[in-house]
Amino acid sequence: MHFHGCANIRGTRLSVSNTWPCPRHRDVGQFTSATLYADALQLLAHSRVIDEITVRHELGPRLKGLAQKRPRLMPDDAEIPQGRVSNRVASDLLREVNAFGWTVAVHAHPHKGTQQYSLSEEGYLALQIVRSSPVRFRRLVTAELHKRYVVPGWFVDRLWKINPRTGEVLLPGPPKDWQPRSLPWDENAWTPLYESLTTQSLETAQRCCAGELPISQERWIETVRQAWSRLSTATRKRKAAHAGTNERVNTYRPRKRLAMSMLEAAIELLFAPVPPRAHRHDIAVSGNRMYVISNRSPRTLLLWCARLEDLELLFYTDYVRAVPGRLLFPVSVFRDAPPNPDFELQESVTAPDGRQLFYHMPRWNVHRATFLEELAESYHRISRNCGALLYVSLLDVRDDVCRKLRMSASLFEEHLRLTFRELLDPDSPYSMSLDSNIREDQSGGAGLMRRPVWQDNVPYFSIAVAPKQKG
Amino acid sequence: MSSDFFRVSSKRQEPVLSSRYSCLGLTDNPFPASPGVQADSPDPRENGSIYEPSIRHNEEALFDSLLIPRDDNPYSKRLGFVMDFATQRGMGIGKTCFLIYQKSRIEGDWGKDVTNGSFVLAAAYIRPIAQTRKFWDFVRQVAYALNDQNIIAKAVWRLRYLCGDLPDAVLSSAGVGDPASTIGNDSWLTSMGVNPADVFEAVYRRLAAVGVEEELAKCLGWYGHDARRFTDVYLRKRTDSFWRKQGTELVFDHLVNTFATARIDHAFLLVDEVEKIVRYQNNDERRAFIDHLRFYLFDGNCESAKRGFFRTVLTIHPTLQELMLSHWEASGLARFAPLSGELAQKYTVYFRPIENDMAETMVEAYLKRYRCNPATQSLHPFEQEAVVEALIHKKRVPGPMLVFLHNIVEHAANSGWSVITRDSVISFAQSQEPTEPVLDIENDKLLPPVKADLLSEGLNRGNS
Repeated sequence: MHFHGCANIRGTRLSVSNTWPCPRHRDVGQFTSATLYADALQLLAHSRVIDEITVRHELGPRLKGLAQKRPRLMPDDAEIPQGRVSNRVASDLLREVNAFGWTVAVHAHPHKGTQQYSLSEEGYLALQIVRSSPVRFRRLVTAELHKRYVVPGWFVDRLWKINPRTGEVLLPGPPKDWQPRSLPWDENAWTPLYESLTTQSLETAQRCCAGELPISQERWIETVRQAWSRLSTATRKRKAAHAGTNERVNTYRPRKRLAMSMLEAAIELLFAPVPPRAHRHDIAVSGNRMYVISNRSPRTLLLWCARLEDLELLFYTDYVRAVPGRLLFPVSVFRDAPPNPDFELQESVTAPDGRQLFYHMPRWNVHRATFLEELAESYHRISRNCGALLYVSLLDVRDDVCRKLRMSASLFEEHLRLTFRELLDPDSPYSMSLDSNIREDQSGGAGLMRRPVWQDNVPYFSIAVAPKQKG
Repeated sequence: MSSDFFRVSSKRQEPVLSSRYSCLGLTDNPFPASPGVQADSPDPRENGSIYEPSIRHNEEALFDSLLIPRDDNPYSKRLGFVMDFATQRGMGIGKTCFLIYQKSRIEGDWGKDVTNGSFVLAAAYIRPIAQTRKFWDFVRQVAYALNDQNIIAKAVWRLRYLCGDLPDAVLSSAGVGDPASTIGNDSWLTSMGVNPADVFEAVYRRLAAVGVEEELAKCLGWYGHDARRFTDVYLRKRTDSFWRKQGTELVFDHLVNTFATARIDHAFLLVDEVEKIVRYQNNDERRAFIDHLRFYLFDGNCESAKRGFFRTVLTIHPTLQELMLSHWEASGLARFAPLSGELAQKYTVYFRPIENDMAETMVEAYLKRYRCNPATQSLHPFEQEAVVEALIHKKRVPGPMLVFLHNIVEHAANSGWSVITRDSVISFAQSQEPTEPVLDIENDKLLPPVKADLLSEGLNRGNS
């Protein structure tokens, strides 16, 4: 058995055997894509020294929303909302790249006064990996993030602890058809309606997870209620500050508040230092910061979901037709040895009990028939359920296929690309078409934050599949 | 021989006995190929002219008692509704056909028959263009409908007759035959020794005398008798700005004065598809529209309200009722024509799905026109149960049933059937079934099974 020393851990000594080490830092940057690291390295190579201002100006226009996602867009691709990286992202990015040891700080700029950085020796090696293999670079980022924050390994492990059978976890949300109007700030009492919606959301989630969600109804309602009352008193000042005004905020949106309360409650019940169904911490914690993923700011969880999805450790979607809320499942697993070459080892991320982290990467040449079959099945089911339309949301199909085959979004894109190549064969059973027009439900609001499916640097949003006409 | 460059489509041949439908005893397919009614189509199957009044006898009786003024019905209403009662899909229940039939019924003899000779009535059928959000835009469409459907022209012909300047010989000849070719025709007037310009002037002077605006009176006098010329000379030259500022005055004062001078007592506005207006309106537009309706139909300071000239029928759906209700009540219109509650029943003509015998009557009316032997009096080539089966298959909604019958007649003609039985209807319906999407509602509540088990072999090769 492996014993992880805890002498270096600051704060309370709660760490014992079989616990993940206490994270060295918690200041994770407010961005989600690993390509930003790659772009920062390229920029360093090109400019010799960089600072925040250079990063902000040179990283150029990117897809807005969940943003900074994979390939850069052409500046004249006007249909898709784009934006530059924010000051916050620029400074977080530089801080993290520096923390990974890829840069060294040089003198401050003589006129601007900002701290400047240049490429270190490790940074140069990382740059070589960026240029040779984006996948290897993602693995490197995973290792660096794990070293600094512990979250990547711990989070995957936790998903498997919550649902030991499949790792699938549903974070319940309010029913989709409940769309109330804004209410005055003071009308924040917890009503029987909210309680029944809270109960309903858990019941739906339990039904979809086949009872694998280890949350009791009483605790769920009580935790959501507490989160609701905390948000009802705590967020007013923050909202006003966010709006850049000293005026009091007079209204709030009950749906959003209930959704945030449910998310907070889910973090509290599922991602506490003590895992569900257990009695001991599985991660060392320091002092008053008990939660690795803050239970007072669900944003941290959302941020990590997006990052870990980009690193191919897990998959998540907020658009499951059957159930409101967020569906999370790992596409990687801790195990002793890989049963076949479909599992790829992640170096430097080892569980406290010695198991290693493997990505599930089904090989195309072995599983292509399964992929095509499941793609067509998902398409037909989704098409049937939205009124037998020819073109349906490619993102819905992607989410469904990834869930069934436990593959990452990146691997889906790769397999889809190969599928298209195969479909050129006259004997292939299907013809397939993709469309890059943004669907209405993705042109604004939360839909804008949804990851598109990239093919040859073009984001696609709709898909049509039809049996090929013979003769 | 002319080249293909100048080729035009060949005129459709009159159906002959040897047509492909002769095995069914028909000269052509008797049923409409496309759903919906196209009032201007020359094809009787599509323009609503094949109409069997007995099917909607109850609805017609209600329509008459509600809206048609008669000596024995002096308190007929100024506003009524037509609404479908069909389940699921209201399209094709027969509202448009009904309205078009009522229009032809009223306008044929200026309402002599329906009012027992008490009143002179006109009727216009109005199908609003989608996104008609403003009242002035609606009013413009009313003006165009009154002109395009020759109601203005006919009023001018009556004015020519009534203004008293024509010699008696001309007046007595004008009453014979189609007025379009007599008193409405300038050449005819010339041939009768009358200078048309004198008639134009007489009409103009008469209208000007009753307060019709100068330019309009002149255009009506000189061009109003010809709908196309009146469109070119007057209507088409009115700008949006005109319709916004003066459109309501034109329709609800000046045209009403014109009609009244032509001794027309009431005009029916049969408005179809009100959802084309209401759905696109925002809250304020909806409220303003309904306020305007009240002003110009009931109690505003305008000729139409004073005379109770327009009788309006609005075709609505249950969802529209909901959209309009709060504004209807806020504008006070609920007191004049309630949209909800028990009283609404008295103002609404409901269209219900049809019964078996109605369907048979209707099918017979269509078949009658296309029989090889017009003397045949039956549902042949359909068996009675076949018609009932088709009706039930289309949820007792007549429109979809007619299109279904069209398809089955095509199939029967191609297959050489001589009779269409219940079984053949059932098997044909089944062969068409997949066009209706089947929602997998129960399974949709569950997530599909996962195919990969990461704790064992991952994605099993056997899955493929």
